[in-house]
Amino acid sequence: MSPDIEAPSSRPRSPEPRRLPGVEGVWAFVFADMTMFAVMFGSFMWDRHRNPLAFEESRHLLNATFGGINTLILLTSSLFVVLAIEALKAERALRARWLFALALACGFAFMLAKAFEYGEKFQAGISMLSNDFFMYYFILTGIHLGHVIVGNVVLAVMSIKSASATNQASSLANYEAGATYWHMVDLLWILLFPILYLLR
Amino acid sequence: MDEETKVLYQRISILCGPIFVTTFVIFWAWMGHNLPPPHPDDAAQLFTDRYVNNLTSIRIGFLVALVTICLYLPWVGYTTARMMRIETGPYPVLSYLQLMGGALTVMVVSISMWCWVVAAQRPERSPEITQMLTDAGWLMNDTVYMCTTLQMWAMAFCVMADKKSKVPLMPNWACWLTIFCGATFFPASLTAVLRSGPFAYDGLIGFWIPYPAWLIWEFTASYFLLTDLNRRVREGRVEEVVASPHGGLLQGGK
Repeated sequence: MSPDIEAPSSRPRSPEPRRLPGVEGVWAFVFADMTMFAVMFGSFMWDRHRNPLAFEESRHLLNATFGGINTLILLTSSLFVVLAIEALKAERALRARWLFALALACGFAFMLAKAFEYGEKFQAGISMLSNDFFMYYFILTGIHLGHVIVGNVVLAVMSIKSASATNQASSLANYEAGATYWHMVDLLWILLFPILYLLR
Repeated sequence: MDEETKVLYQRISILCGPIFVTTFVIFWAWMGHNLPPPHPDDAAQLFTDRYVNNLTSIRIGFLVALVTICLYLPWVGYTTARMMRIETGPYPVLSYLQLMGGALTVMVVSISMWCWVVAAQRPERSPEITQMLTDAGWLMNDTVYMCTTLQMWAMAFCVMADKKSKVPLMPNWACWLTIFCGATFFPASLTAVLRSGPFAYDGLIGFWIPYPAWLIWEFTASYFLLTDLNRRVREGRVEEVVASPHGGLLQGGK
């Protein structure tokens, strides 16, 4: 995946024991957080099942273009994060720093697109209190946006710190933990987008 | 104070955690008729009926829970002292944050129950006022949670940064779950706006996740604090537990 493949391949190719990327705790967090979202998705589907017409009508008022653009933005940012971790493993700290910064730029772009999208809704007189569909729409995307904001802080810290990063296992584990969180934010959006915008 | 007595008080302080959780479930949740919570969208008269029909139980429940909520304080005191052994030196900011957050948590939960005690004191008053007192109590808990969140986060960040202990106070997964449990409170702010559905104060996200998350965290953290105390006693490291704010300065780096 990374263009600088010569660095990893120069190491001895002995079979490495399988290990969990990052620290174990971040996986516990990811599991708990995704369970929380699963509960909210389940709750949404339950209410949708009880009132399919209203939910379908409201869904048509969403701008799927914004949703689609945000999906591409987050997928791209995840790619940058993957490349940044690869760069760290290859001890190319400066390259990692720029890749984290690019991922962060994607995070900001996501927030900007979300601001436009919310603005469009507010101008049309739609709010969280309009109906159950929009309650879920604003709360689910809002909680996800909160995750993106936290993720942006994490990416900024990783970008700043990576310039002086060492390739020690403990140091790498912290970056992998941050990357794991960001991939979860991405994955949550990939679930949110079809459930809210596309599901007929 | 001799070492044995110190350890005894430390052990009691830790045990106050699970005892608090147990009494909270019995008196606040069960006797206080908060399981399930009242429905915020109900008519005012139903709020009055709830008090009138269960008056003795609700009165005893909240009056006892208002006393036992203070069991949270010794637990916070021990946790602060234990964190200072990790965060040695003259600037134990996370320990202080945990201390303040924990102390304020007791006040938030107490003020919430105080609203319900007032409602139960004169249940014959206008139903709208009883409804308002009930709402005020719930919104006190559900919107003024940040001190508790910071308490939990301070503890988790402190334990995660521990580089000295051979066996950490809490395993890494427990620290991350602490962070998660603290974060589950955020959606509870929506209880101030939404009066029905999962985000209301009787809803799945407004009640059934954040409240158990808080109690489960308290229980889990107590378990690890107790295990840690037993380990220190077993290894003869009792003197490490001196809980003076200057202890870090004098004995730092152990």
